[in-house]
Amino acid sequence: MVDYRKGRGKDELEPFFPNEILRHTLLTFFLISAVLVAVITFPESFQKATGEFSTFQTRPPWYLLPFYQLSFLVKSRGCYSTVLAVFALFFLAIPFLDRNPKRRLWKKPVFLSLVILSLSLVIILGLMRYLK
Amino acid sequence: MNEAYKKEKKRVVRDWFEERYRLREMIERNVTKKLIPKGLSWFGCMGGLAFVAFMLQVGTGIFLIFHYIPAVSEAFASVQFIRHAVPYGWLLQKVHAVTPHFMVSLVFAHMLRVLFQGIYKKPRELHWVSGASLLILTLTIAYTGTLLPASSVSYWGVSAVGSEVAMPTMVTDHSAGAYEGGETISNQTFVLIYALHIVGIPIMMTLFMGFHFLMIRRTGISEPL
Repeated sequence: MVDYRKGRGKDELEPFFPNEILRHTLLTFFLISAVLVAVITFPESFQKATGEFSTFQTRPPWYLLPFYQLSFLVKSRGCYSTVLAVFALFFLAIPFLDRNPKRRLWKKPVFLSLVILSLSLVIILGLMRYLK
Repeated sequence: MNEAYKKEKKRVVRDWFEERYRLREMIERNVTKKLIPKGLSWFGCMGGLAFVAFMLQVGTGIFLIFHYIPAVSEAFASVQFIRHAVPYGWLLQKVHAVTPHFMVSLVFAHMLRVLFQGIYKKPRELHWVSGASLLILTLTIAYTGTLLPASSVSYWGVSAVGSEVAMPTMVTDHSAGAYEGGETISNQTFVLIYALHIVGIPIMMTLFMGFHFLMIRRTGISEPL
């Protein structure tokens, strides 16, 4: 376990308890409250599966929309799986691909462009499916 | 006299545990006397909150296991039973259905922060690999979860819209095949998806989380920029 006291003065440190514990407890409280509010306010979307779906209730969750849209654009199952696998591999390998010693993303223009491009692609795919 | 006896009894029990497990020392080292760098962001709690959301899913999911029937013809009815006949079933089922939205958002937010601040740099490369794997597994478990109630959204998950295009699935190719042509999904496929959802993926997630947390303890949390 790392000892954060090494190389630091007392004024650079704070106690884990209660400071960090309090931050986490407060945010956990907000998360559970938000979940309960969502439980009450989310529209009822539980319908039995039939052959005809066109209403908003049958739309897949927002985080799966880009995948659905991609599956419509890339019709071959093999290509679809390959595209997903390649994207996942690049995503997993980011620390090994980014050899720039700078930490902040906005100080690395090429890498920043690639990240913005990828994020835009995911958002556009999701929006295309959502607006259909 | 009675009060003194109670105090002595408590002390004996405490000493018994202390002698064997040194709990006081462990709590002091990891919680009460632990010091951390000043100025940590509130956004640094996103990963921990995603873990809370995961635990919420595990807790509500264990309750649902007792009443849910993983069979094509009975799945929808069993979820309806949970929602309408089981005491507080509606609440637990809805919490289980709504929490993935929060969990995915939190994992996304956590990863974007790590990406934008370059926290994955040496010596934290494997933190990223385990975290990114957890994002993929979170999406996969959410996907398998949408299929299980055999509702209209489940149909969306494995079928073509308007029968125009075949819908390849992310996890189980053959489940899409089962829905094509108006056929229902097979029970074997259903049980496979169920097993992945309640055993396979959660075990993998637990292993990755254990590795992720262990690595964070080894290298420490990242310095504020």
